Amino acid sequence: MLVVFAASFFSNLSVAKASSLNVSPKVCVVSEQQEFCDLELKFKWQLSEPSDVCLYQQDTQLQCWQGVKKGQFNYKARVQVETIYSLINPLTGVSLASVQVEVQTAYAKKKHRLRSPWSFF
Amino acid sequence: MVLHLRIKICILLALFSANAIAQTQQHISTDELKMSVSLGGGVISNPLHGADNIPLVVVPQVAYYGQNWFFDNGRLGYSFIQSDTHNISFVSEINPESRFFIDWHPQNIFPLTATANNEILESQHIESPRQININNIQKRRVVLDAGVSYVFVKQQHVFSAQLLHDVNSVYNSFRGSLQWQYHFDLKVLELKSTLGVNYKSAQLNNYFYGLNKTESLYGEIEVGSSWQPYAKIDVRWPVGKANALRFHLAYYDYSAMDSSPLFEHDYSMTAFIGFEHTF
Repeated sequence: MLVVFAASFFSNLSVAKASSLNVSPKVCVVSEQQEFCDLELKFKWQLSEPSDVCLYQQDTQLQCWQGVKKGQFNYKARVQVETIYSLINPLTGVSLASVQVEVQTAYAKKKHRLRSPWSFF
Repeated sequence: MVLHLRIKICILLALFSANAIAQTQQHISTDELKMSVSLGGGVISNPLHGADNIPLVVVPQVAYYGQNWFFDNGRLGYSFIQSDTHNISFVSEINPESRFFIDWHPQNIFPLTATANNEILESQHIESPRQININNIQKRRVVLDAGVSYVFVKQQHVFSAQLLHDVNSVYNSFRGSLQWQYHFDLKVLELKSTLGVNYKSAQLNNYFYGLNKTESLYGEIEVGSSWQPYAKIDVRWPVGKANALRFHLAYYDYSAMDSSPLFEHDYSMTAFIGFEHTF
């Protein structure tokens, strides 16, 4: 019984590991002059078994495929904030894999100072 | 008369100066601690009878701005709406009226001798009914105020308004201010001119400047609410990246408080000249 449970557990683990989603590039570097990136994102994914699957940008659906085990997809995106892309089974709503595009600033962000009216200077 | 002339000079400087934008001192990098200290000579004049002027020798400045939270020279705030032109924040700061009731005499800041009490006793003999010495009244507490601040930035102009209420239940009322600030460069000098008006509720003025029956031989003296204008000019002459010469002059009108016998002068002035180093 223990052997069956262990086999089942590790089997599930290997399925979970098999589902993957990769994107390139993973980082958007914004400048003081331009606070966004126009990226040509290249997605590659692989599932443990053929399945219906949709690619989401945050909560927005980008594209769906039926009965696929792996695939790739190019998408032009304007990125301003950290954005999560997910592969979701449209029937169950389960997220199979996800990846994040990060935003980094190449400058120190500046703000207008909010001094007290009583401030000396 | 001389004071009014000084204010006019401040306004004229603001209106007819060069149009270059002086941004360096008005902006701050987020998530960085900014510290500087100014060493020099100056004073905040205390308009109250028997009170010491406040000496300005070392003026430290500490500011830190996060994404929403900020601390800027004693003012703690949280910005919940912010853009390049608009900012609305919760703010808290010590009520500035408290400064007139702290004994800033060096002998009391660094108590080496015990002569301060003798001076108080002497002063009790010389005051008249309309001149009440602050050493002969009950101590006023340090008050913490909190409220909402709105700032609107349009190029070199900064308009601000704020409304604050005391949070430690001392005077149980509010104060407000409206301010216009203009930043500009005049050749190598960075200038900042300010005009504004403070509103203080009757409860606030009564707490600080009114008198109860035990403090006055003539019974309780109440002070009403007040609108008090002020003007400031600040000049900065950068010397290299980290150093600057600094000049500051400010005039705060207290003529609306003439019903209080605590006042010897109807204004308070701040003047400072010195050397500033940024760390």
